[in-house]
Amino acid sequence: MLAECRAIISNIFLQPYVSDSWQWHPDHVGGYSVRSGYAILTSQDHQLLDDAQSLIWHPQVPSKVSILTWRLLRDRLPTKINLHDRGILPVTDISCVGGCGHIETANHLFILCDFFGDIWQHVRSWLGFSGVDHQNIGAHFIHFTNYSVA
Amino acid sequence: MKIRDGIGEEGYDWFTGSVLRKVGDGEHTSFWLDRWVGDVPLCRRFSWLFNLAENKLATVASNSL
Repeated sequence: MLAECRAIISNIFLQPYVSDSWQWHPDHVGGYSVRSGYAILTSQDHQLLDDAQSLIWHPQVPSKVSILTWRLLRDRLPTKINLHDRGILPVTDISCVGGCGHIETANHLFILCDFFGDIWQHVRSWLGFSGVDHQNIGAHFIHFTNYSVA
Repeated sequence: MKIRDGIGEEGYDWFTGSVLRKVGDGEHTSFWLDRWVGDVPLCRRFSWLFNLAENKLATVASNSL
């Protein structure tokens, strides 16, 4: 590993009196432009979110629900682990608010947690369905919203 | 298609992945944390070495392996 690291940096020669600078990788010559940023973002594949998109922003869904769902699928809800990543909570305070002792990620909170995850079975029996949960929030979302058209 | 295959870790978004450090004298570039050689910062590519490094904030200029 050390040899590999050495080999990589042995091809680099420092240039005295030349300042280090930032470089926009997609366009070394012209530098950053909104156009090139836009091109990168629109070339990315967000397949799961695309499927979910029309469901999240459905006109019959209240906007507070849409926004919560949107944040959930992008993992932007203030779960304890996200708050820790942003420097708000110490590492000693990231276990699930349900008291089960696991780390509070969105996936845990909404699906895996023994305490909160049970709700999906109850909702299912209320709707008159039976089934098992996906382990992934995006798939779970698609799966569950399909009940509404079934 | 991901912007760059193999880089899907948290905290490494499309913008960070598109900016790199062009080293001149190396005085103001972090050896381990900035992306100045290769596709990922050296702290990721050589995480094992990074763990051993005494000065994790060393500059490119100051770091002679």
